[in-house]
Amino acid sequence: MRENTFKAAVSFLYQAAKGSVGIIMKKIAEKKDFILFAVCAVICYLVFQQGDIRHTGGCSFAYLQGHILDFYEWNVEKADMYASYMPSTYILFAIWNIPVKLLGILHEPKLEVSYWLMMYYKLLPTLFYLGSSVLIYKIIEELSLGKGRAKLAMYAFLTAPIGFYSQFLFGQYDSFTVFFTLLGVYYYVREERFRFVLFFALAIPFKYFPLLVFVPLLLLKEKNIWKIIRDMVLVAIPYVVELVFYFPSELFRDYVLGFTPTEYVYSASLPTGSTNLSLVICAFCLICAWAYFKNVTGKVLSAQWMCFFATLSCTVIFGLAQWHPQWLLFAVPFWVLGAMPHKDTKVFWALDVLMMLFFCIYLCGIYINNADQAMFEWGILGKNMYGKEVMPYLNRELRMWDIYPLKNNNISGTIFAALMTVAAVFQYPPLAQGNLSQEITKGMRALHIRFLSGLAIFVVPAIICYLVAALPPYLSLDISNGRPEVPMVGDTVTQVFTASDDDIVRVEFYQGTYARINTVPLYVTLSEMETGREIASIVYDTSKFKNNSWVSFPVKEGQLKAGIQYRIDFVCPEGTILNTVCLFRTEAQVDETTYYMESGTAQNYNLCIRLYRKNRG
Amino acid sequence: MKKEFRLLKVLKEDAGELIRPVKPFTVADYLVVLAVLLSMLLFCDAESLVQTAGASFGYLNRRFLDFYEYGRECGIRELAYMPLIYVIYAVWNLPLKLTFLVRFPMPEVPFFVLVWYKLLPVLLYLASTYLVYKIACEIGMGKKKAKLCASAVFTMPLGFFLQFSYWSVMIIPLFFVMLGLFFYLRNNRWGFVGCFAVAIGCLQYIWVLFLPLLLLKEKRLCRLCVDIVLAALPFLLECLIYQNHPILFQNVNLFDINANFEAGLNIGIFVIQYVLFFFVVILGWSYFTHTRSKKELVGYATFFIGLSGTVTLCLTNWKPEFFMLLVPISVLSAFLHKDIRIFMILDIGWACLLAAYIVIKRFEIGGIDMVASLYTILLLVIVGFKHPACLAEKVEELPLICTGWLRTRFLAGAALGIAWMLAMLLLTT
Repeated sequence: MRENTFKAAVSFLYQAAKGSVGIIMKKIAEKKDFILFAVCAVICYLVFQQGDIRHTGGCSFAYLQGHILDFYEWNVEKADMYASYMPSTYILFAIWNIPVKLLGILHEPKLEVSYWLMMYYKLLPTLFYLGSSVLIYKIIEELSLGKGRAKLAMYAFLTAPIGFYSQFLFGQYDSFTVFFTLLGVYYYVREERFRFVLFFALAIPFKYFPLLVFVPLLLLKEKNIWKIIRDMVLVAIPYVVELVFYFPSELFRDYVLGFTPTEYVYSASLPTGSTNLSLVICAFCLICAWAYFKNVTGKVLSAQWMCFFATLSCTVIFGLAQWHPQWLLFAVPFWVLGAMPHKDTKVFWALDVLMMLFFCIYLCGIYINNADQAMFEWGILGKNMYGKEVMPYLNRELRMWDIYPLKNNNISGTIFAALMTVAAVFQYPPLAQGNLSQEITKGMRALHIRFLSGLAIFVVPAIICYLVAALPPYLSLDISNGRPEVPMVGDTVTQVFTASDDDIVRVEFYQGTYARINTVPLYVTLSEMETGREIASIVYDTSKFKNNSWVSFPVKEGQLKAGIQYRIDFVCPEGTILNTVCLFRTEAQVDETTYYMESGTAQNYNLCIRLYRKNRG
Repeated sequence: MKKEFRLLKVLKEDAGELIRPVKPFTVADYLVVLAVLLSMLLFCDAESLVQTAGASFGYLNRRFLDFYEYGRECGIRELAYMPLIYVIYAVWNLPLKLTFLVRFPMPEVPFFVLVWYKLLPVLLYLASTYLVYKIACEIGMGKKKAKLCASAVFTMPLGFFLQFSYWSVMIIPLFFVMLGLFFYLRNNRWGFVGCFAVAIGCLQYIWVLFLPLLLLKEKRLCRLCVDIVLAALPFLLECLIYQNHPILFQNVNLFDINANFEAGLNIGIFVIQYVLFFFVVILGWSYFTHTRSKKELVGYATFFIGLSGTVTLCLTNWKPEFFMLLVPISVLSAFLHKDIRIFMILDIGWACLLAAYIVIKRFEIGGIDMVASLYTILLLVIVGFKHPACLAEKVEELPLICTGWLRTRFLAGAALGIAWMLAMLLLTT
């Protein structure tokens, strides 16, 4: 039986791959659409990458070395890498890495690998992503919604801005779980129960999200309690097998079972006095109950309810709990599948662009220097000769967070959660009925706009950050991330620093206005520490200052000499607590020659200042 | 036989009670309203209005670009509105300028100037009431019911109290909102967008009312974008002209929305802000709602305006005068409902709770949480039960209410207003 299923799966994959080539090649007129996608995908594939994949791909070599039972321990021993996923992900990567091992490129677990090997790692989830798009095609085709709609859905999935970001920019491996989930959904639609359970069972050990879709889907179709229990047991088998296999390992228990993000579902809660009710769990249980009490007949209507419950579950988990940017890929197929039979398909494409906008703003605010412009570091521009010179300035000069106008993560996160809710709630099937018998012949233009604008939301600011880092002036000294603790109320405050270069062209200091307009002048003087010789002096009109911003103090090139100690004095003689600005200072000391001075006494902290030089070091 | 006759008589009387036409207002009604209105016009303090109307002389003195700085130099403390409000007031104040009665912004003015200042809101309030009448006619209420609806708007306790005791200038954007709604129902796209653009130029909060209306009617994405850009034009123009004037951005509190969005659900790494969340969901709801008739369109339009207004005001650090914006639409939707009487009664509670909130806040008496909670729930009930599913089947059906409730309702509002006026007089003396 199992052999037959395996053969069926392989045969399906072969047919799907063959079919996908056919789909792409058959209609020459639409070849350009796929070329557009391919060009963008290849560029982003090579240019952007987040660093996590090195860890996961690298860990998988432990299996190739024969360390099956001591997999987790061996990785720590050999490369100090603490694997945090269930074995499925590593097994898949291990199979993929057999050629690497055979060619002698890498033999054992290692974090730091060459750029091209990392790109090889990235290829595996990318293939799964492409495979998932074929499954989307097959699902729509199975629902007899017409080839035009199926093709549109496939393209919509491939070019979904958030999905594209997750796969081609962030470069993670959530596509594994997405692929197997979609296989499960495909057999669900075909009403092949055993395969539906089987592929969901395979999907769950990669990430737990498929469980959130599996349960409502099962309850929607199956009303017999014993059969529900049987399928629930069956779907858990692969996970339980892996669990039993590795449970004796302490590292497995600590780092896989104790994986922190699993706790996110408890963050949003309702305190009852004795306990905290998890809103995610409560909402999910309600969805399950709804699915059980819903009786649906008809293939298309069932599929619509399926998508509705799946998107609702995704909204609950991603709307009421913290998420990592790559996880959202899991929701993308359901957004697309739900939009296809809807009478207002186009508006969901517009929603995708809006979601991408707030998704990017949010993640650039939360994952600063990680999931933003920092992803250049592991891309081709970060690894070549010139890139090595740009990288030190990339995350310091200008960050994507600085470019987006909205700085409040609560607002961006809320709008994103609300848009997800809208995208889910308005897939409610009674509201969504359209004319499905009509074949779709157009709709590519809207998808192109969605794809390109969605992509531009991330890529354009990222490129600006890269260019700013690549062009002069360059940061020479950066003391930032301080707090507003130096109100300018009369006394002179001083920051002492040593110029590291001869070509300093700008000094900047960070200030806050207390979110009001101050009218007092601020006197700033730069002079040599030892001789007291004044180099430059500026009187600032503080009413022009923006709250919480850097203020520039220009100096002429050559005025500051390398190795000489300088002092920058700030004084606001007319400043009162109701009418003055506040300078920011840090807690930490940089070195002995860089310090803050108040009333002539040196302190062991610093004002937030930056020095810029003209030439690269 | 006698028994049957008596029974028939009783039945007839009952039926008569049910189909009894609304009693017309008497001369005494008009006289009472006029007397209350005049007393408010003549004796009520209007400090905020004096500041706003007074500041507008900056424009008449050709101080266009440094308008806010000039106002402050002249001793105007409150410059809390967008330029368009002052421009409108400047036009109104032209006779005062031409007759040299007032020459520059003054924080204190003679009695007759104050009455002149007050006259503009009074006229706009009357004009808004007339627009409600026109809208009611437009949606097929019939002249009789439309007149009753308009009189209910005019005598709405909350509106009367806020307008004639508080003397808020919210009536200026509200007038344009009502005009925009009128055009909206007449399918005049440019009129609708144009009026709302002016209203947004006066008060950026109007976005909250405009967007659900637009999304309810317009489903084409390109047109949506065009209309949103057009509606934003006056506002953007104002921001562009006054971009280097920090007083505007500080006082009008344009972009500091953080302080107002405190209510939220902490989900660990960020807080879901209820106001934003619900507002976006309401926008989605209005977009996905398809109406089939004008009656349904009005039902949903008033429902969405009420809902988004309630959500955005009750869950934020709200200012009482903003509720003025919901008054005509709330009454209009009540007249579409099958049970108008209950909303007339709830209106009294609405005004009383708002007055209690203002008093508690001003005099720092305890119990504000209780009052604010009751107020929010009351408003949600008023708005929520006006969902189009609860509306009357026939719009033109005359309401089964007697004018007694309208009188009681008005008197309650007037009493609140007079009490407030007396309290303020006592405080100032």
